[in-house]
Order: sequence, then C-alpha cells, then structure tokens
Amino acid sequence: MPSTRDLVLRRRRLRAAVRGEPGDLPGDLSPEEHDSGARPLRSVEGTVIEASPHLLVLATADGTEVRVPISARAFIWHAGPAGVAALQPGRDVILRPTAGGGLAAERIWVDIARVTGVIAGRAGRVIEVDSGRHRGRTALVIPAESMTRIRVRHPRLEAGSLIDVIGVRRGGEVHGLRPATNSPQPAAHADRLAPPGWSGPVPRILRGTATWYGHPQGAYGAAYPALDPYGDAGGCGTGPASPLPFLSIASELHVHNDCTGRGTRVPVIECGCLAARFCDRCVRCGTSPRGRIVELTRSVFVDLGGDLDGGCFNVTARVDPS
Amino acid sequence: MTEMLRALQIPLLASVLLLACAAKLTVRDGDPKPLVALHRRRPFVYGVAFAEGTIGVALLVTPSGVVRLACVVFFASATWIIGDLARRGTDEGCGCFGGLSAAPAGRRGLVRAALLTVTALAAAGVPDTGAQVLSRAGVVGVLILAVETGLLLALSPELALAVERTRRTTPCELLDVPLADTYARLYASDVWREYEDDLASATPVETWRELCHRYVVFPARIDGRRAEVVFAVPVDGRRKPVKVGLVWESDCAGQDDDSGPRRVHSSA
Repeated sequence: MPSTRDLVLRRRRLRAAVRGEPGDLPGDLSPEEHDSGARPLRSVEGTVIEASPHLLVLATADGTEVRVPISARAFIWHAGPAGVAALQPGRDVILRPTAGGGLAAERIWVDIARVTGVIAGRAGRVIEVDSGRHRGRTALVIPAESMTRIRVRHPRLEAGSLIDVIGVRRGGEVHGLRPATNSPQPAAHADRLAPPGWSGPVPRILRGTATWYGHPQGAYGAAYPALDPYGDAGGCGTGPASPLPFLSIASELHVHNDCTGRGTRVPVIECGCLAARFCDRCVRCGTSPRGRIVELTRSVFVDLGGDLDGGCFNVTARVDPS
Repeated sequence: MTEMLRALQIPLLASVLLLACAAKLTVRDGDPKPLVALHRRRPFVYGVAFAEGTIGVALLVTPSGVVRLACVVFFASATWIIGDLARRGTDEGCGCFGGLSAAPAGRRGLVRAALLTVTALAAAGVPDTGAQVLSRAGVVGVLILAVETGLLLALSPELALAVERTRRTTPCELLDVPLADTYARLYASDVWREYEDDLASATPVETWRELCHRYVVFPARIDGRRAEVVFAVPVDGRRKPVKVGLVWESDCAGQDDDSGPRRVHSSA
C-alpha cells in the first residue's frame, strides 16, 4: 500500500481522468489560501534539544534540527500557563508561529496530550480508555485536583462511557487536566448514539466541530467519521454512525476554521470511528451547528489557528463533488 | 347517548393497545445494548407488547372486570412513566409505540396517556365486549370513533415520525452499498463492454468511495501500452451513467500523441 501522500496524489489523478481534468490541477492551493489572512500557519513539532529565553532548538520527526526564535509575547503551555523553564530537553513540543507571517514562536504547547475514547475499565484514578482500533488503548491518570473538573462534563467514569480529556505527559503517563470541550454531553454513553436525523440531500458543505488528536508519526491530515467500509476505502466497518457523506482514505476536504478564518486542504488519513459518537458542540466562537465532523491531527489544528488546550473550533468542511 | 359513548371506548382502547403491540414488535429503535433504561430493553419491550396484545384482544372478546381493571392499571402506569420522563427532562422517548416513540417524552404524550386512563376508567363498567359494541355501532358510532381517533393522532408525536419515515429516501451520499452491487452495476454498463477486452486482469487493483460514486481501477494494456482504467460507478439507481477514465502508467505518461488511444469520457 502506498503512503497516504502518494495515495492522495494517485487518487486525485485517477479522479481527474474520469472528470476529464488535468490531474495536477487545481493544485494544492485552495482559493482561500490566496488571502494571507486565511493562509494556514506553519506549525513545528518535535522534541526539545535546547532552549533559551529567546531560542528553541527542536529535533523534528525526520531528524532535522530546527531553530525557532521565541517571541517576546510567547505563551507557553505545560499543564497550564508556564515559563521557558518548561522547555526542558526531551520534552515533546508543538509551536505556532506569529500570525503576521514571521518565524518566531507565538504559542508553544509542551507535552500536551488528549485522550478521547470509550472507558474500558477503571482502577481508582487510572482509567483505561479505548481510543478505537487505530489508536489503541491509553492509561489515563486523573490527579485528585482534576477529578472534580473532569466530572463536571464526564460524571460517569465507568466502563462504556465516553471520555475526552486534555492532559499532559508526565513520566510516560498521561495525566488528565480538564475536559476537552466545555459543551455538555447529553448522551454520554458510547452505545447511545443520537438517532440519524437527515432529510433531503446531504449538504457537501459541512458545518460543525473540529477536534484534534495526536498522531504517533506526527502525520498531517484528518480522521473522518464516515469512511466507506468496503474495498480500499479504509472504513472502520462500524457503518454510518452519523449522517455524513461517505468518503475514503485519501479523500480531500477543504477545512476552514470559522473562528480564525484560516483554511486549507486536508487529506483524510484515518477513520474517525469515535468522533461521531460524541454529540457535544464546540462553543469557541458561537455554538457549532452540529457535533464533531472531523478530527484533525494536531499540526493541522494548530496551522488553522486552533489552540490545542482549547480542544476544538467551529469548522466548515467542503467535500469536492465526484 | 352517554352509554353508547362509554361503550365505544372499549373498541377504541382495544385498537390502541393492539396498535401499540404491533408497533413494539415491528418498529425497533435500534438500541439493543444492555446499558439502556429498563423500559427500552428488548425483553421488557416484548413483555409489554405481549401484555398489550392480550388485553387488547381480551377487551374485544370478553366483558370480564379483570380485563377492564388491567386496562385501567396499564394506562395509569403508562401515564405515570411518561410523566416521570417528562418531569426529569430526559431525552428518552417513552417507547409507547416502539421505535416510533423515539422523541423525548413531552406534554402531548402525557395528555394522551392521561386521557386514555380516564377513558379506561369510564368504560370499565360497560357490560358488552368490544366486538359486540362494534357490531352494533351505526354511522354515529363510526363518526364518534373517527373523531376520537383524530384527537389521539393529534396528540401523538409518533405521527410526524411515521410520516417522515415513509417519505424519506436516503441520499446517495449516505447509502451503504456493498461492492457486489457496484460490480453488478459496472458489468452492465456500456463502458465496461467497451474496455473489457483491454483489461489485463478481471480483479480490480483498487476500489474506493467518494460521495455518490465508487471508483474501481483495473490494470489494462492498450495497444501494447500499460495503463489503468478507472470506472466511476454511481452508487444509486441506474439513471446516472458509469464514467470512465484512462491513465497511462508513468513510463508512457509523456506520450500523448495521436498514436495511442485518447483519454475517454464516455457514458453508459
């Protein structure tokens, strides 16, 4: 099986052949990207090699060493607002440059993690979360000081319930800090899905909530809940859990952050089999019209101006007609 | 007149109970998992349906006081349950008519259940069976039953859902279509017959779905050159044509003169 990037290019070419279009057009730039205010930012993620108050040296996933100046007004997150002292060698970092187009880091998240899934078991403050067949299981530790806050949104910390928590990596464990969204979750149980309520044609411009997840290889793309379960489409085999149009791995979505105005084209790289089970709404900039329609890898999320510690943003996703 | 009005309630109550029984057995709400509320668990639902069917038939064939009492208790219990659901503001439906009662329990359902309880109480002392009442019901009786049925329908949130379910057709983007259906549609198309002899293998190298089309890719050898033929097969109906495209393998990509077959966009 070719890599996802190769698959995206291949399927784009094959689709274009059917439509009678040149395979290389319309190219990687979507129309909104021509406006600098709507252009995605270029996030950088890697492991801290060295840090000073003004300079951060990172090793990226491909082994490249990247030197990034730190803006004087940079916000550093490490289990909450933190200082440069949090940038210790060996820690995982993702940063967003200044919105003006400079290279300096404006927002830096250190060892941030998110655990989304179905609770598989619980032993005291350690919760085993099943994040689906692609992401496996994670042991989530909820410190005593975070328990009350998390239980506001997830009152039932029992097997079978959904959970979505922002946390921080500490000594090989993920410590939960706060619920990932502020919206209530009316049907918290994984088996109690909202009934599909579509009528008439399905809009190909989808408006709803985008969340993020950490891809182990730091991939750039999105997990989409409604992938076709047949053939080489990459579906989870769980059927259409939500009234979303069927797509496949390597399909492309134009994703637009309604809160910042930034947009880009994003390939589907994974089946978001859990996203459609959540029926919460994002309230970052008004209430999103519907629940989770796409999960973005954290680099895409940050590129579009999202704050990882915020957990979500309102999104418009456009599917190109086939 | 009052006696006739009371007597007519027996067949009305029987028909409501039999309808609820049939709906519970045939219209499921698709939530069979064990961790749901008691009143939505399948064994419980089947048990209630059995009780409703039994009481409904019994109302039609016997004037027994036990049956009338069971009918009153049944509707009173339903009223209490719906009232409790509405008071708690839960998003659960009452399940009174199986999967059709999926909407959250509200005032309309509560009023309906309360009215039926009052009706069952009023009709408890009627000496005739439901079948006897129906056999004697004249035009006036039929009109009264029709008006009461209309009133019950107006108080039934299930009606809107039932109408929506009968009218709704699933958009092609949401259709769950197995590969076998796609292949059947493809093999019946004109473009398949046009390219069938050029295919190097009858087994596709790749299939994937986007919105209303499934793409099926076959290796091909055309005029001695290697290529891939990609078919875009609509997933719904037979009105839309199957489209086809031709992509030369990379070693031939630069050759785009008149000596080889052209890129084709034909339809079935």
